[in-house]
Amino acid sequence: MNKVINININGLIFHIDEEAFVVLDRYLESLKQHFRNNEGGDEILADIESRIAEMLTEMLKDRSEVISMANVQQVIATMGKPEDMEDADSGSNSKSRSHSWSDSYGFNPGKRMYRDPDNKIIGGVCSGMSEYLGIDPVWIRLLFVAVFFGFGTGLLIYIILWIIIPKAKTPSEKLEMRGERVNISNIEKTVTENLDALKQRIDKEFDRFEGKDFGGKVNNFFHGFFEGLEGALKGVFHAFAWLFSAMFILISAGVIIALLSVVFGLTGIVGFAVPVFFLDFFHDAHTASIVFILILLLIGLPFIGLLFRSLRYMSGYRGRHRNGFLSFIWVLAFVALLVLVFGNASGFRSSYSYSTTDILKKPAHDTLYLNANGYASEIKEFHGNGWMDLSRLWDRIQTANDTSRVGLVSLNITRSDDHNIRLEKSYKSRGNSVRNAMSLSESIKYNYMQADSLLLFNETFRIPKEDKWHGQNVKLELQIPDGTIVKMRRNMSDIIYDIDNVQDMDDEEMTSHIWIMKQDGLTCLDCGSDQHDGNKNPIHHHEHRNRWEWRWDN
Amino acid sequence: MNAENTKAQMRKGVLEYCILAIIAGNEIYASDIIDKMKDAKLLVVEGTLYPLLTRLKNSGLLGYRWIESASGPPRKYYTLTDEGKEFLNELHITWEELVQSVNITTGKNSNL
Repeated sequence: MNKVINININGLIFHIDEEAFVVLDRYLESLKQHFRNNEGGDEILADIESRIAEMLTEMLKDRSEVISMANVQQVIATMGKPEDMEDADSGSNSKSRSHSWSDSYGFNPGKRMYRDPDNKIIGGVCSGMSEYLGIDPVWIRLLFVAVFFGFGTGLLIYIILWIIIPKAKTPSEKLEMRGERVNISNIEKTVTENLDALKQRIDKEFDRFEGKDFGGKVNNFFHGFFEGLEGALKGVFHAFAWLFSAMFILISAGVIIALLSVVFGLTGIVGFAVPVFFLDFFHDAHTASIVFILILLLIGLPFIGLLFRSLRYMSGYRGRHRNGFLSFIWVLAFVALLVLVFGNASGFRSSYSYSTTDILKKPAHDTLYLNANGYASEIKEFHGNGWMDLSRLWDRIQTANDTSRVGLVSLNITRSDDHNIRLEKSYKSRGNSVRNAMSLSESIKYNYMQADSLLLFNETFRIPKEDKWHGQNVKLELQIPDGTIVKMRRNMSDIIYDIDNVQDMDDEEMTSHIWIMKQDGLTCLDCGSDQHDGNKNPIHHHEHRNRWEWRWDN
Repeated sequence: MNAENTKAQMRKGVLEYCILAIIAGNEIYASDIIDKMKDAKLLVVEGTLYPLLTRLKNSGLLGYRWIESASGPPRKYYTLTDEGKEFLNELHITWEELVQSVNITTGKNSNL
C-alpha cells in the first residue's frame, strides 16, 4: 500500500505517490540549492516548476491520475540534473559564480555552520558548532555553561550566536552542515523520515512559487516572519525552562539539605531533634516527634518532586513522570497529620484549674531567703537553642518510678492583705472533658520546703507517669506582708515570673538585689543606694551583702 | 581531455545565439523554444534553458509578458528588446565570420 499525497505545483493540483513525491521534493530542493547564488534564482526555479507542471499535465491522461515514480524520473531526465545545467550556464559569469560559491562555504569547503535542530537542547547552537568543528556537542555545552557561571557572558554569546547562525531547515542545509556534498543521491540518503513535516514544507514551497506576484511575496514574508518569531519564542521558553530548572535544582537541594539537617543534628545536637515549643502542644513526645516528621515530609516532598522533575528536564529525559508515588506519600502524610493534630487537639478542648493556699510559719526575722532546687537549669539548657533532643528528654521524663517531671513552675510575689505569709498554688490542666481536666489537674504533685526563714522551691512539678501532657501547669504566688525583706538565690531566676516591682526590674536582674515589701509593692533596697543611700552609707551596704553571702554559704 | 566536455563547450557557445534567433521570429512561449531547440538537437536537458533565459532577460536583451492560457496558469511569452535585436545582429555577423573561419581551417571550402 502506498500513500498518495496532494501537491500544488504552479497552481495545479496533482496526486502523487509518496515515494515519487519524496524524489521530486529532493530534486526541487537540489535545484534550489544549485540556483541559490544565481541572480534571479527564484525566477529560474519558478520557470522550471511551471515547466514541470506542464510536463506532468502532458504525461497524465487526466488530472485524477496519480503521478508515479516513473513519471517523476522522466521529468528529472528531461529537465536534467543541476550539474548538467551548470555546464550550460557558464559563459561570462561562470567564474564569478563559482567564486561566490566557495566563498559562502567559508574556510572549510563544502561545510557551513548551521544550528542543528535535530540535536538541540535550547537553540541548537552547540550541536551545530559541534557538527562544524567535528567535536562532541557535550564539550561545547560544558564550555558554555562554564563561561555562563564564570562571567555570565556565556548566555549573551549564546543568544548572539543563536541569532546569527541560521537553522539547518532543509535536507541540503543539513548536508552542508555536516559538510557532505549536496547532490541528489546524498539528499536521498538524508531524507528518510518525517514525511509529514516534509509534505508541509513542500506544499509551502509550492504555494510560494504559485504566488509570483507581490502579494504572494508579502504573504511569504509574513509567514516566514511569524514562523521565525514562533521559533524564537519557543527557544526563549526553552532557555528559561532550562535556567529555571537549574534554579529549582539549587533551591530544592538547599531545602532538602536544610530539612535533613533539622532532623539529623542541628547546632550541635546529634540525633533527632524537635523544636521545644512543639512539645507544649502535644500529649507526649512521641506524638510531637511524629507530627514534626510529618510536617517536614509535607514541606520536603514537593521539593523532592521538583528536584527530580528539573533534573529530568535538564537531562533531556522525556519518559513517564513518576511523581505519583511522591504525591501518594504526601497525601498519606497529610491525612496522618490531620488525624494526629485533631486527635491531639481534642485532648486540649476543656480546661480546669483550682488553687490551694498554705499559711507559712512566720520566720524569726523579717527576712525570707528564697532558693530553688531541681532540674530547671538542665531543662533550660535543652531549651537554650530552641531545639530539644528527644532521646535526652525521654531520659529526663522517665527518671522517677511513678511520676514524671514535666514542667517548670512559675512564682510571683505579691503583697499580703494581712500579716500572714501565704503561698497560693494554682493547678491547671486541659483535657478532653472538664472531668478529665479536673482529674488531670488534681493529680499534679508539687512540693516545697520551709525551714524557718528559708524557702526551698522545687523548680518542677510532677504528674503521674500514665498521665499524658495536657498543658498542665503550676503557678505559685507568695504573698508577703509589708516590711518583709526578700533575698533570692541566683537560681530563683529560673522560676520567678514577671514579678511586679517598684523599680520595674527584669526577673533575671531581681535575683542580684534585696527587696522589701512596701505599701506600693516590692521595692529594691540596694538599687537606689548606688545613687542616694549608697553615698551616705556605702559601708553598711557592703556589710549587708557580705553577711548575705556568708549566711548562704553556711 | 574529454570529448564530451569539448562538445558541450561548443554547444554552449552557440546556445545563446540560437535562443535569441528563435525568439526574434515571434513572441514565443518557453516550452515552444524548448521544442524548437530539441528539434534542432541543441538541447540535452531542458533545465539548461531557464537559467539562460533569465540571464538574457536580466541583461536587457529579452522581455516577456504574461499571457492567459486555456489549459492552465498564465504563461511567459518572450520577445527581443531593441538591445536584443542589435545584439542578435552582431552575433549574426560574428557567426558568419566564425563559420567561414572554421570552414577555412578545417579545409571544407578547399574547392572554393
